[in-house]
Amino acid sequence: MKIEAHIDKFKRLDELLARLDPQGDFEIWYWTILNAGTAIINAALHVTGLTREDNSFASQIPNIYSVAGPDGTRHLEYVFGVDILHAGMPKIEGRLPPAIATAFSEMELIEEFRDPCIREDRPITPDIIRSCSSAYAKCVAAAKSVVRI
Amino acid sequence: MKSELHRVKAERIERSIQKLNNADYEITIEACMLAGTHWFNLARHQMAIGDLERDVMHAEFIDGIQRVQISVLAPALLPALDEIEGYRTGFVRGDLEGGEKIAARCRDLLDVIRNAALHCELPKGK
Repeated sequence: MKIEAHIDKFKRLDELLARLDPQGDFEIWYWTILNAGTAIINAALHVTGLTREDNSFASQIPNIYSVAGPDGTRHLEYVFGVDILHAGMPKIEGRLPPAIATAFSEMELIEEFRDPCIREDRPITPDIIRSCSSAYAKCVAAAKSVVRI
Repeated sequence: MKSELHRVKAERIERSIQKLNNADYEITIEACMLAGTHWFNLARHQMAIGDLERDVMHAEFIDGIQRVQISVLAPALLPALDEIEGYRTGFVRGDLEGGEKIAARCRDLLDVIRNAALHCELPKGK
């Protein structure tokens, strides 16, 4: 997506967090920080030029993107160097600037809870919520230092 | 995960969905996918289809044999979940217009999935 579209998505998702209870709505709260974090990281990656802004949208399969044809209808294609799906997927070659590296490592901390807490039955504890919340705040701060919003 | 836990998770997520507006379309779509996938896994248990020790994360990636088996026993289940999954690229990871309408559609599809999951059973004779 384009940088502005990532930023718009990040802002709307980040605002939504205020309406959710991290304990009672954990699954949705968690999924919102996952999506918001990925959106602001994509904006930061585009700003730094590590990936490029584009009108292609990530599918569930690495490097396969929805691309608009000349008549506007969309189809799937291999595309490289555009939006990431998750931190590290697709992998970005080369050394990451410190702010991006921080945003990635904080998102990876959040991702550790994805399957156990959302897909499986690991109990949601205040410690898990604190860990995710803190990692999200650090991820967003690092990405914002690049995007400057 | 045991089938009863899938139901508990699905119902928890559905309660949270009630806090979302269709303007929150990205997370409404995602939440319907997450709850729908738990209902889908519960249905697999009820129908004894596939490796029940391993839950399915993305219904779109299950093999062709399981797709046929499920389509025979619960014809509405996979088309509804596939449709929700299909919206994620354009509306969650993309910026296509009309997200609010898609969010409303996903809520309806989740109703279809839940209903299918709660009414499916083992093949006759098994």
